[in-house]
Amino acid sequence: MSDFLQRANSMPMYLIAAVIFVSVLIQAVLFLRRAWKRGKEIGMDQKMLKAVAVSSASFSFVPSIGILIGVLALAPALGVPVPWLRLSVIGALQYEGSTANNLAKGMGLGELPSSAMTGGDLAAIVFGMTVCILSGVVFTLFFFKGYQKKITKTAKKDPKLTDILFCSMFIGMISAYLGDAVSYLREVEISGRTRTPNILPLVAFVTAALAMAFFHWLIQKKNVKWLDDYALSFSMLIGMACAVAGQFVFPGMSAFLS
Amino acid sequence: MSEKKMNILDEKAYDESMHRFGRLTMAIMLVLMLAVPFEICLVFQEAPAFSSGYWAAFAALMIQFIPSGVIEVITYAPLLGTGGTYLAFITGNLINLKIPCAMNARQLAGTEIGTQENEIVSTISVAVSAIVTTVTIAVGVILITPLTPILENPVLLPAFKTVVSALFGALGFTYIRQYPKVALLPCVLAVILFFAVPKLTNLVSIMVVVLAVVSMAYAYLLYRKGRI
Repeated sequence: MSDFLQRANSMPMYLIAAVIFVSVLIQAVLFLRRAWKRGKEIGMDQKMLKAVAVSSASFSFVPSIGILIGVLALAPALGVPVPWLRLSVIGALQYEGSTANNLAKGMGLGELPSSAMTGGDLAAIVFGMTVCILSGVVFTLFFFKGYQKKITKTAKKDPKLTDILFCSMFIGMISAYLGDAVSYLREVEISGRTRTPNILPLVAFVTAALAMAFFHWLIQKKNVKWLDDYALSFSMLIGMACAVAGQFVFPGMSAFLS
Repeated sequence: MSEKKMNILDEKAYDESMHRFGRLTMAIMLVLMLAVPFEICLVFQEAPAFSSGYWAAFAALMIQFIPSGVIEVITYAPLLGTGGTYLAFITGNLINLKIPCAMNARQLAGTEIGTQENEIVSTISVAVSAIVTTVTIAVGVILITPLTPILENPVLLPAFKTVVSALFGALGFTYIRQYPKVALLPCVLAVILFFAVPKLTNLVSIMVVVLAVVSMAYAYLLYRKGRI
């Protein structure tokens, strides 16, 4: 291990990341407590709140592993603590890697991981990764309250329409990811590299949807109520497992860009 | 005072307190995050290597991300509610975690967006999601040596590369089943557009917003015509 990576993986660096980790955790627990207490106050069904918590927990675990892989991917370039703390806060998987790379290129370090990297470079890269994604936070901090008030006021006028509009907004988001899975069927250039046709994202999308349909049938018609909390996570796992199996069924259409 | 009026007053007070609390914790997290690069300088005993090339790349990234951050808040905040928004915008991973999580919770609890019940359900789901994610990543970091060969196994690669597709497929069934008439237009449009212009895969975060707007406009039209 290079001298740089040794220091990037040293105990003080882990301490810096641990402070962020603990703060995020405390914040989430405090929000959870407040919402739960309020739910109790207004007489919401505790069983239902518990079901929401269990389902959210079981659902979040699988994508979290995806995020952990992001930490692994960035570790050779930045050490473990930096991607760990970045992906525990605002950072998103797709954003962190490309931002770090763009900054490194601007600094003349070339593609990451770079053997020329120093602590000063790392500090500058982390500064950029932090600041460039802050607009959402700053906007929330100063303008969200006013915006939220307007939305709530409008929502109260026609609650049914509000729910339909926001559900359809989400349906629009779903359709974008369906489209993205379809785009994998075609050959495409991405940052100068060729992505060959790949059927696996569509396989995952369709099989996860079919699995969800099957679980829905079990819950509704066969009264398998406990499945309700796990239907989403199980369906995702089935979709992902079908993608793994799919690489053997469609060997010529299963290559991902690394 | 009638009980209903009391509840409305309480609701306002709760919302106010959530905004105060959200702003406070968000500001604290902001300071902690901004301190990190300087803490790194202390560990390495080096000054940050800010060069003109660095600032050029920095400016390009800022131009790219300032609008997208603002659009994200405008688009996603109503889905996440007050508490959920403050928490989700600090903990990140919105599209691949927090929003699907809140929408799954809404479906499970049968609450309507904009109501106080949905506000509570959404905050609980985002908070639990944030806890599970941070703990999973932390445990993963501790166990990084034994986990690396498993997570980097090429046979498993398709599973991790298709998390988001599987997630939206599963939630897709739930929501499309609920509003099939609304879903028809954006889904058909997305399939045709992305197949005809596969380069759109580079712009998926923009297409999410475009298709969300198309879908909302279409839903509004159907609602006004009494079709849904």
